[in-house]
Amino acid sequence: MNHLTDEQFEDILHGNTNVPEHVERCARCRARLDEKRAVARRVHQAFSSIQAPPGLADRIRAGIAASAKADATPERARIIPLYLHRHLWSGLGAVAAVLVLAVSIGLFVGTGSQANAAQVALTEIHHLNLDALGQLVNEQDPNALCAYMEGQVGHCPAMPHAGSGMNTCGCCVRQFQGQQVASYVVQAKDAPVSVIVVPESPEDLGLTPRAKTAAMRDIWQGKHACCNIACVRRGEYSYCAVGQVTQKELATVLNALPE
Amino acid sequence: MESPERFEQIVLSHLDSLYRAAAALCGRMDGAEDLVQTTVLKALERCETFERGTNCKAWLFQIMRNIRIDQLRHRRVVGNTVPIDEELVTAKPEAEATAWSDARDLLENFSDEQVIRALKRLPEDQRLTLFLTDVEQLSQQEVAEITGAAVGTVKSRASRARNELRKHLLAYAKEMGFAGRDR
Repeated sequence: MNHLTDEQFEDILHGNTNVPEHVERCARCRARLDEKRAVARRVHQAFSSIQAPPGLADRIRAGIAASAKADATPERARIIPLYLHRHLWSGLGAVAAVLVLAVSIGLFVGTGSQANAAQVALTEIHHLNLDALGQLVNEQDPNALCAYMEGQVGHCPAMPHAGSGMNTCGCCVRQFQGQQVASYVVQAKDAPVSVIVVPESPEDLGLTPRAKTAAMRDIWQGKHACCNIACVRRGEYSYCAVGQVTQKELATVLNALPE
Repeated sequence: MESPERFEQIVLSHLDSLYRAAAALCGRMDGAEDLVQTTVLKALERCETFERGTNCKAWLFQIMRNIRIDQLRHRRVVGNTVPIDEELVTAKPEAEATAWSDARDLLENFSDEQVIRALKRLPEDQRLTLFLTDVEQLSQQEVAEITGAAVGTVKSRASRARNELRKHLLAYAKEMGFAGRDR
């Protein structure tokens, strides 16, 4: 007596074939078929409650409109012609960031913790960066990159200096607490780390000074979900390194910024 | 050929399905939303390539899968690993496949979230195949076209995925103490 093969079970589940008589006689095949049907049903049921978030269609339409507008703006192409299309993706990412930020802030304002909301937003930006790594502006020429950032956020953020062993994977503009901020991703030893440059002080971000950089700047630290956060204040901006790495590794990233 | 506005409407009518697929692929909801947006934008760019009368949803899934592959390829280049949410299912699956004493009753003990998280532990090709067959209930031929595999591969992949999923769930059930009897 030959038991049913996996392929035959799949054909039965898909309704491609009737249940063979063998199954009626064979307790083992009957049990396996019941089990496969039960798993298929449960998987279907598990996803049936998932729906697109309210407003996603509107946000996508806004993203499409923004893309069309960006397409029709030749000035942007003159800044960094090679990466024009990536500006569009940055725009879309910003739309998504606004949503995530809004949700995050909504959640945390409810608990009365604006500082925590800032750390949630930093972490969300890091996740957005990871998901869009292939779409980040990846200009090799530092001057062009600087010009791009100045055009987008009004300043040129410090980046790890050559020879630090930190490769920059790309940069982008994100929404943070209602404003556009610069962000870039560097490949640290164990995983990518996002550096997000925000005007808020580390204290306002709810972080605590716990270490010092090689140049004796305070490193303000925090943690949200699976990500560590470490910030240094440089002039008018806080440079916040965020990633699923140790605080020590985040400090290495911050130490790689030129003084 | 539909007008761009009509085509946009058609594409957006599949938003829930796209979001579910993206959630199955990405794991995180924020990543899922990004993937859906990217997919929709790419679909609108390529609307001329859509063959009228064919399954638009399947076509969208194919675009999403290609985008996802590009994302993963890039992450591998930069040395990243695909982030996985904190796992609810932590036990290693058992090597031997045995039938559950009562699969339906046992499965009811899991929350939707636990089932989805267990699914996330499967390799991406198995996960997508199972999603397309069991959740979207597409034909094996359609799944084959979306995943770029032969129909026979789709069958074996779906079967492996189902077996792996039940192993993960069984391991978790034992850990949680609501299963212990194998036949």
